[in-house]
Amino acid sequence: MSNELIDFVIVSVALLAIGIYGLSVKRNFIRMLFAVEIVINAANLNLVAFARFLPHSGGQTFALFSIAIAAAEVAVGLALIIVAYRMYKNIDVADFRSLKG
Amino acid sequence: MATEIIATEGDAMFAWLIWILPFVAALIIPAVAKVSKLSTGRVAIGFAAMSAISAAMLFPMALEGHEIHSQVDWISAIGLKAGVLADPLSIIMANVVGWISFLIICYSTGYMKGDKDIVRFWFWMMFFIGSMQLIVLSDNLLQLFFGWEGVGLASYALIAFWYRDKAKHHVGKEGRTVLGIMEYYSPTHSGMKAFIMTKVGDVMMLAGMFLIFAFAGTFGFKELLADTAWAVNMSAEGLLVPAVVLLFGGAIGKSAQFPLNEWLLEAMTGPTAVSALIHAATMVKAGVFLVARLGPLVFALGAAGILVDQFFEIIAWVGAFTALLLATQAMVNPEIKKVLAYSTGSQIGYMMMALGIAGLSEQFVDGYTAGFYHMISHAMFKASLFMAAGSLLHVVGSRFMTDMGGLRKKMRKTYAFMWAAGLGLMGAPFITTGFWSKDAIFAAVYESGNEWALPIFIIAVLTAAITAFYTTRMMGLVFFGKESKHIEKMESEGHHIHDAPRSMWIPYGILAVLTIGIGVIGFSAEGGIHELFTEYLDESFGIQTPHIDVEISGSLGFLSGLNPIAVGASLVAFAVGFGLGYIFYIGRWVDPVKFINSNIFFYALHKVILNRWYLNAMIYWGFVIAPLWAARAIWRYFEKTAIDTGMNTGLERSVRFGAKVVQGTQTGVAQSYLFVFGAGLLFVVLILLI
Amino acid sequence: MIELTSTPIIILAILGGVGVALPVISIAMKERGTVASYGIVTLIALFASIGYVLYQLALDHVAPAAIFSQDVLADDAFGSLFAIAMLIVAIFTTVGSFSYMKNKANPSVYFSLILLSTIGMVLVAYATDLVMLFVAWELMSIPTYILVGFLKKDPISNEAAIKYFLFGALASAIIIYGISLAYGITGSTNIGEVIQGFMVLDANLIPIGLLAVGMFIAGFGFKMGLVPFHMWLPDAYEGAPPTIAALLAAGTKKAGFAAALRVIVMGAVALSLDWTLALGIIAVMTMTVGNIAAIMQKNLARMLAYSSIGHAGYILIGLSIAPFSTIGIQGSLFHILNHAVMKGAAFIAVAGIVTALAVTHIEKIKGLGRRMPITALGLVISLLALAGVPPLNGFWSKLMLFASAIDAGTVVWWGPWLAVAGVLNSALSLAYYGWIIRKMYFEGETEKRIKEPRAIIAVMIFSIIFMVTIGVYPEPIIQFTEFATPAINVAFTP
Repeated sequence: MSNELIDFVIVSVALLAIGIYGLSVKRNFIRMLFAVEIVINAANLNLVAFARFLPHSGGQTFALFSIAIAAAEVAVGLALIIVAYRMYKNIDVADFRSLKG
Repeated sequence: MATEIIATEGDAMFAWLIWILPFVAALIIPAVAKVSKLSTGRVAIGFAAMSAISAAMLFPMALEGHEIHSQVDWISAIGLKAGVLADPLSIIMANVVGWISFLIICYSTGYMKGDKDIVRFWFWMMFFIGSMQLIVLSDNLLQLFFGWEGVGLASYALIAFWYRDKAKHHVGKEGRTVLGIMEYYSPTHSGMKAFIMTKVGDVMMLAGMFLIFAFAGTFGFKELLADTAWAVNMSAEGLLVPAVVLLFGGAIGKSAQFPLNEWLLEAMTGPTAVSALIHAATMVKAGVFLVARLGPLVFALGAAGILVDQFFEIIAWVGAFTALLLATQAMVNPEIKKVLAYSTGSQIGYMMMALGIAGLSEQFVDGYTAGFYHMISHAMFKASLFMAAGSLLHVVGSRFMTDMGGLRKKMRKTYAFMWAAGLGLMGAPFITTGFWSKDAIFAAVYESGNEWALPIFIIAVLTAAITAFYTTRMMGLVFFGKESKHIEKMESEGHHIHDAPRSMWIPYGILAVLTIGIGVIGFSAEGGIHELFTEYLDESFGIQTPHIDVEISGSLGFLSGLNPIAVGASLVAFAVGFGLGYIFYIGRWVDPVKFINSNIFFYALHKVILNRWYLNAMIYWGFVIAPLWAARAIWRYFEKTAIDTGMNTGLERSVRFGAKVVQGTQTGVAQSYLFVFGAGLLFVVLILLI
Repeated sequence: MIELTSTPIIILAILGGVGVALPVISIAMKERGTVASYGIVTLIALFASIGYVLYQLALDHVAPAAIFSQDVLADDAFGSLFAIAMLIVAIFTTVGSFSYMKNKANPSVYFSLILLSTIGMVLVAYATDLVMLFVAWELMSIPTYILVGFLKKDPISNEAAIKYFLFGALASAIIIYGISLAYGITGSTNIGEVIQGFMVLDANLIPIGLLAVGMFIAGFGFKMGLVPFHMWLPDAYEGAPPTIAALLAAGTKKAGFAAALRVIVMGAVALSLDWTLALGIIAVMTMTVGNIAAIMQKNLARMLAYSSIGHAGYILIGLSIAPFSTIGIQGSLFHILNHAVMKGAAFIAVAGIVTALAVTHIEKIKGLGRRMPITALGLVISLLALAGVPPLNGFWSKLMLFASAIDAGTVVWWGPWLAVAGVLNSALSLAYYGWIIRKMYFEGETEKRIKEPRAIIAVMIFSIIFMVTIGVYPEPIIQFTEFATPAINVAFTP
C-alpha cells in the first residue's frame, strides 16, 4: 500500500517543482497562472491521495474547497490581465516594471 | 489618629483628579478653540477650579494626618506602578499650587485679553499646572520625573511664548555688556537658556534616580522607606550621599539655586502671569518640594545610623549662599520683574536653608516646618506681587522702574495691595505671614545647635535686612517721588493711567489680603503645621521629636513660644532694611546715585552686584563661548579629518551602499521576485533541516 | 459545535450580510448611491462588529487564549485581539475612503470588498482548523487583489495588483501544499490534533513535517512581508490606492502573524526543532533590509512600505524567542496592535495627502505642516510612534520586545543580539522618519492652508489620541495582551 502512496507523493512533489520553476522562468502571465494551478493541483493530489490511505476522509472535502478557491483566484487573475492587456497590449509580466527600487 | 486609615474610593479619586484635570483641560482646549476661542479661558478657569476643589476636598484629611496611597499597574510587564501619595505634605502643597494657579488663571483672562495666540497660552498653562500637580502627588521618583520634565517643557514654551522676539518683551537693557557678554535677552533665547540650565540639573537627577533604582529596585517613596537595606548597601559603597546629592542637583536646577540660578532672571520674558506661576506655584517650588519629599526619607536613614550629614550641609549652604547672592542683586536692578525674580531665588534659598538645617538638628520638624511654611507664605505674597507688577507693566508699558514713579495716587488699589504683599516679603513684624515664616527659619537655624548654625544665622539675618531694603526701594521707585518722564509723556499723549481691570486686581488683592490676614494668626498657623508635621514625620518616617515646646494659644500668651533672639534679629533686620530704604527711596533725603559715587568702595560693590557678580558672564564664557570655540577647533582639526572622512562618511556611505544593494534587488521584474521567493523557501527548509 | 452567538459567527453574519448586500442594493438602485451612503453602511457594520467584540470581552464571555479547539473556530481572546486590530484598520480604511473614493467608479463594490476581506482577516485569527484557516486566508486575499488594482485606468495600480496577485497565488498554493503534507502525516486538519500528531511523529516522517513548517513560514511570511518573501510588498503598497495600502500593511499583514502564531510557532514547538534561530535570523534580515531600503526612498508610500517590512522584523523577535521568555509573544501582540494603529494612521495620512494634493513624492510635501496641519501632525505622531519615541505607544511595545530578547539571553546566546539589532534599526529608522518631518515642518516657503478632508481629520484625531493615551498609560492594553497570549510552554514540554 505505502509504495503506492509514495508514488502519489513523488508525482505531487514533481508537480510542485514544475510549478515553481514555471513561475520563476516564464514571462507570459497566462503560463504563470498555469504554473500556480499546477502547484495547487499538486497539493490537491496530495490531499486526495492521503485521504484515500487515511481513516480520516476530510482531505477529499478539502480538495473540493481548494478547487473552488483556485477557480475564484484564477478568475481574479484573468480579470487583472485583461485590464493590463487593454492598457499595454501585452501580457508579458517582465515588461511591467515601472515599480521598482 | 492612625495613618493607615482606609481612605474611601472617592478620596483616592480626588487625589488622581487633582493632576489629571488640568491635563484634560490642556487636551480639550484646542478642540474648544475650534468652536469658540473666547470659551477657552472659561474652560481653563473651570478646570483649574475643579482641580483646586479636588485638592480642597482632601484638606480635612490632611489635617487629621491621614494619607492615601493609591496605585495602579502602569506597565506590569516590567513591574512599574503609577500612583498617588496624598499625605499631609502633598495635600497642603496641592492646595497651595491649585488655588494660586486658579487665581493666576483668572488674572490671565484679563492680562492676556486679545492675544491671538491665546489658545497656545491656555494649553501650556494647564499643562504646566498638571505637570506640577503630578510632581506633588506622585508616589515614586519615575512618575515625578515625568511631571518634572513636563514642567520643564511648559516653562520653555511659556518663557518663549512671545517667540517673535519684539523688543518690548526682552529683558535687560539694550546694548549693556558685561565682560563682553551682552546682557539683553530675547524670549526665545531665554526659553532656551532656562531649558538647558534646568536640564543640567535634570540629568543629574536622572543619574541619581537610576543609581538608587539600581540598588533598591524600586522608585516608590514608600517602598524605599519600607526596606532600607538598599541604603546600607549604597552607603557601604560610598554611593548613598552622591546619589541623593545628584537628586538634589535636579532641585538646584528647577529652583534656580546657585550655581544654576541664572536662568531665573531671563525667565521674565514670558507673560507676567507665567512669571507669577513659575515663581509662586509651579516651577521653582518643585525643587523645594522635592527636597521636602526626600528630606525626611534621608533623615530617617540618618537616624538609622547611615551617614548622610553632608547631604543636608550641602543643601543648607547652597540655600544660604543663594539667598544672600540673589538678595544683593535685587538691591540694584532697575527692572521691576527682575527684582522680584531675584527675590524669589533668594527666598527659595531660605527654604532650602531651613530644610537643610532641619537635617542637621535634633529637632528635624522645626526646620522642616519653617521651610515649608515659608514656601506657603512666599507663594501667596510673591504671586500677588508678580500679578501686581504685571498690571503695572500693563498700564505703564515699560519694565523699568525708572519709567514709573509717583503712581500711588493713580493706582490706589495696586498701591495698597503691593504694600500688603511687599510687607509680607519684608517680614513686617507680627502681622504678615512672611514675618512668622522667616522667624521660624531664624529660630530653627539658631536652635539647631550645629557647628554651622552661627554663620548661616548671620547670613539669614543679613539677607532679611537686604530683603526689606530692596522691597522698600521697589515701592519707593514705583509709587513715590515725582512722575517719570515716561509717564508724563504717556499722559500728554492722552493715556489715562489707572488701575487694571477687575479680573486682574481681584486675584492679587485676594492674595495680598491673605498675606496680612493669615499673618495676624500666623503664629498659631505655624504651630498647627508644626504639630501636624510632628505627627506626620513620626507616623510616616519614624522621626521622633524629643519634645514639643510650641504652645498653641490664641491670646497674647502666644509670644511665649518665640525665640527672643530670632525675633530680635528679625525686628532689627526689618528696621534697618526698611529705614535705609525709606531714607533713599521714599523720603528721598539722600540721592542713591550720588551716595554710590561718593565712595570708591560703594561704587565697586555696586558695579559688581549690578553685573550679577559676573556669574552670568562667566557662565556664558565658560559654557557657551569656550565650548563653541573648542567645538570649532575640534571640528576643524579632528572631526573633519578623522571622524568625517573616516567614520561619518564611511558610515553614511556604507548605509547608502546597503540601500543601493537592497534597492538593486528590487528590480521590478516579477520573475526575479518569485525566484527569490523560491530560493527563500529552500533556505528556510534547509535551516530547519540542519 | 461552535455556538451561533460566538464572536466570529456574529462578525461573519454582520459583515458578510452587508458585504454581499451592498453591490446588490447598488444595482437595484441603478448605481445612484453616493460614496458616503455606501461608506456609512459599511461603517455601521464595522462598528457593530467591533462593538460586539468589545461587548463580549466586557462580559467576560471570551475564553483566555485557547489556541486549540475541537471546532473550526475558537472564540478566544487571541482572536479577539486580532479582530479588534483588524476592525480598527478596516474602519480607518473605510473612513479614509470617504474622500479618497469620491468621483471614482464602483464605490459599492469597493466597500463590499473591504468588508469581505475584513471577514477573512478576522476568521484567520479565530480559525483553529487548517481548512478553515485556508478558506479564511483566501477570503481575505482575493478581495485585496482586486482592491489593489481598483484604479482600472492607472497602470501603476494594475501592475501592483498583478505582482501582488502572482505572489499571493503562489503563497496560497504553497500553504495548501504545506497543509496537505501536515494532513498526510498526522491524519487531521485540526491544528491541535496536527500538533499532537507532530509530537509523536515517526522519525522517518520528521523531514516531511519540517517541509510543511517551512512551507507555512514561506506562505504566511509572504503576507507578513518577511525577507526574503517581501519582494512584492513595496511595489504593491506603492501602486495600490493608499487606503488599501493601509488595509494591507495594518490589516492583512497582521492576519499573517495570527496564522503564524497559531501554526508555525505551535507546529515548530511540537517538532522541537532549532526553529527559533531560523526565525531569529529572518527577523534580523527583515528589519535590516526594511530599514536600509527605506532610507533612500523618495515616495512616501514606498518608504512606509519598507518601514512596515522593518516592523515585521521587530514583531518576529517576539515569535522567535517565544519559548524562552514569557513576555515575547505578549510583546509581539502588543506591537501588532500598536502597529495596526500607527501604520494605519500613517497610510491614511498619505491617502489624505493624495486626495488633497495628488502627490506622494517626498519633495512635494514641503511645508505640509502649514498646508494640512492636522494631517501633518497625525503623520508626525505616527512616525514618531513607529520609531519608538517615548511617551508614545510604539515605545512600550518595542521596549517589551527588546526586553524579552534580553531576557531570553539567559537561555540562548543570540537573544540579546536581536535586541541590539532592533535598537540599531530603530535608530536607523529615525533617520528617514526625521527626514519626512523635516520636509513637512522646516522646509518650504509660506504655503497657504488648504482644506483637509474631514474624514481624514477624524482618523488622525482618533489615532493621535490612541497613540498618546496608550503611550502614557499602556497598562490596559498590556493586560489585554497578557490575557490574549497563548501559553506556549504547554506545547513545548509534551
